[in-house]
Amino acid sequence: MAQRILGIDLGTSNSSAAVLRQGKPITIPSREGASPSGKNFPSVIAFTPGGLLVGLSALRQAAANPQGTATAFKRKMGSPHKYVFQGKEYAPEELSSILLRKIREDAETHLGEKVGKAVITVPAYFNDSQRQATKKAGELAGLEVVRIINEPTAAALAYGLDKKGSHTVLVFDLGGGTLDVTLLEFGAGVFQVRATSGDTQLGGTDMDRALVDHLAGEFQKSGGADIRGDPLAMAKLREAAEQAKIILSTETRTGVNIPFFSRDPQGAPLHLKVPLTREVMEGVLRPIVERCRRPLLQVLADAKMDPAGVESVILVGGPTRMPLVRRFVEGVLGKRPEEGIDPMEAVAQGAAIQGAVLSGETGQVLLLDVTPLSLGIETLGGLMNTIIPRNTTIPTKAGELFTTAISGQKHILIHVLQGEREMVRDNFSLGRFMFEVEPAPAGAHRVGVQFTIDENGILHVLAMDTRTGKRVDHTIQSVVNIEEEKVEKMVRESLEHAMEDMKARQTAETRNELDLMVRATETGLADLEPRLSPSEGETIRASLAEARAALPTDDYTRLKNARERLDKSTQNLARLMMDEIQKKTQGAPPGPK
Amino acid sequence: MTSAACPKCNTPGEAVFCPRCDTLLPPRELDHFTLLGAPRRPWLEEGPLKEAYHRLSMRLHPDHARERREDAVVWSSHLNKAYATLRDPRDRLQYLVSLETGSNPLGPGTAPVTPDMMKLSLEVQKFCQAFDPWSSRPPRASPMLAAGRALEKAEHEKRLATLQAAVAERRRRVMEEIRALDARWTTGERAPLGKKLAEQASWLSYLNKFDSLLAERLLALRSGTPIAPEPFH
Repeated sequence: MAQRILGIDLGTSNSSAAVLRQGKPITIPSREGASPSGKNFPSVIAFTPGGLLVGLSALRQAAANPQGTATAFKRKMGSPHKYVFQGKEYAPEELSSILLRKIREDAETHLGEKVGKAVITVPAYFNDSQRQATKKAGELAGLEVVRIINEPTAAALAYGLDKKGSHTVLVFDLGGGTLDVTLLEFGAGVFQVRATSGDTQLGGTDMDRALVDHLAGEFQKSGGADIRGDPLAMAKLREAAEQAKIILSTETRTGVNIPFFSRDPQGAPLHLKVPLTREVMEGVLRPIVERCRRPLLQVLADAKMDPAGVESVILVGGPTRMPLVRRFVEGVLGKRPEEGIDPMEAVAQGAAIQGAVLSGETGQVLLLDVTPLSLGIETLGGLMNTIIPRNTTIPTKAGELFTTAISGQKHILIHVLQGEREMVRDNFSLGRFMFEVEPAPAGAHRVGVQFTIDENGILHVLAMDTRTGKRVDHTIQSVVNIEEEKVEKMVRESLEHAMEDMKARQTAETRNELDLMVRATETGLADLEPRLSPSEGETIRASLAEARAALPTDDYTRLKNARERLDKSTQNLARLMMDEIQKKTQGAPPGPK
Repeated sequence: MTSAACPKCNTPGEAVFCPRCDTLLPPRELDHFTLLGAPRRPWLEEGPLKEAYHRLSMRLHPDHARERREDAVVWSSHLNKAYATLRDPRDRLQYLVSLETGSNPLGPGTAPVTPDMMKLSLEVQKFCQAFDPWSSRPPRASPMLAAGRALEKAEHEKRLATLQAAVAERRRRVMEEIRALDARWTTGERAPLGKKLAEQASWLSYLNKFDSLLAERLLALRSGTPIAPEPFH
């Protein structure tokens, strides 16, 4: 029999592995048993004086040793970020490889055979360099990575394995660090991804951070010190916050109690005791959950589908166990998520199924994935020209003809890009190469550029001079060039430029706002005046009159004062109006018609 | 040059597999209809097309045709392209016309624009011009401003729904027209239909554009995020 291929879900907070046995996915236990989260391998590595700890044993000591513990390194995959432990530098993929090695060894122990090959999952929204880094991590761990597949797709494979007929499924995969939303169709064993969207920087870790921040604030409010700068206290709080989050998925109230939490300036011990209800927690987390709305709607728009076309909704990932998240997804799609999917194990199981396809063990299943991001090349003026649009099924082949722009040009630079933005600088660069041509007048050369993406998602670029028949074949290797700081700086600078003509803008903006408020107040008065006291109505009318008088002027201070006055007098009316608007809009289910 | 000899039994074949021993033939540029075994006509039902695609994928994808991987990558690239083209009515019509006439048709702008299409186009444009600056305005803390915005949001939502309904209605009429042309097509009267089909494809291009402009704005409205810069294609 062909060698078994291990399916690995390499998660931000937790990892898991599975193989297919007699057509059924079997989860690989870790030597230490199951972790509190449910997955078997916490994605945690600890560097201790006693040696390296990986997985559950590393997680157990994390609160006591925050400096020597590596977590969430998946978020840095494909970036030039370096971690330092015990004076030694580690790239994110090296840390991942330590975890993968542990998983491989435990799998070998459990299966009683060597494991040399694996299918590893990544967020659908990972770009090329993040995928390459994942592949490298596997190789460093002694695994041949036969395929990288997308996490939500893997989950859908596990879900659809024994389903009959054809079906449209939406997978909402909110993990520790990333959100993926994928829409698939399956029928006759074929799983075809229709569209995928997501956010690589949104997940349970953000929820934990918001919750920790809230608890630290509550602790301070109740007379405690500000412990935000104390790494040890923060590590304890993080652990307690995660616990509370899990408890509040089933209970409606709990308390966060940490005795001997920290010390006051005099050295006396401080205890932390903060009650927490589900309602309060949901208030803290709602803005984060709300960020999931856009990707969810984007996927439907990309697939040109309305929510009613989705037949099943699958939730994957730890945070989807929270009632808040389930309610949110149900609210957007108007459909109750499927029960009976293990949100923690489905991804690894799907990877195992794909592993069995690639080892030839099963021929009943076929996964047709898409390119999550558009691919193209740079053209004149710093613009990206898309050759393969996002959500194209792979394998795929597409090409375009380009001409030289300058007379006597000797080279054409072919700069390969990935992303959705118009300007080159806003996209990821995957690499560049030179194509030499005979000097000739501008436009004389026609160079065909052909992109091929194979079943492994690897991009091959072929450039060909149509006149001479000369060809250059180029396979895109890993290119690491997303430096987050640089990106942040770019965003900051663009904001600063926007501030330049501040003065004129301020006046114009204030006038616009005042105008809007005047119109809104008029509407509000017309509908709701009987519900206001006579004196309140009068105050509003007076400030309304002043606002109308201020509107035609260019006097910034007067406009501003009028706005403030109107704002103050209409607080109550505005609240009544919002209630009315909400009453009216409720009941209409969201989603494109 | 669409026929090839079977690598196993040397029988010549026109399609994907050897007519005698069912072996995968060397990759060639078959037209999309032939590749998917679909009738060459303007109207195709989605179900049978999808079934054919799934059936062929199972055999042509490199994950399954492992012993002929290189060929399989080429075949399934063709297959994916063929299915993506034929399942989309606009792409299918354009492809069909170019196949029949040898000429390359015709995106928006080639057919003379009818008054109703022009009117729809202006309405969509007007809406976008009003909506986009509104959408990117930063939120403010004032309750009355928020109430004002909520009122405007409801207005935008109403306008958007009306426009979407108008686009959908226009699309329904185009589809009807395509079905009528399809009926004439199958009775043999092909040559004069090319121009009419290209025209319908052109309408669909406009409608697709309107739909995507509106969908993008609906997304911004529903998610409370500003309108994103339009992806460049």
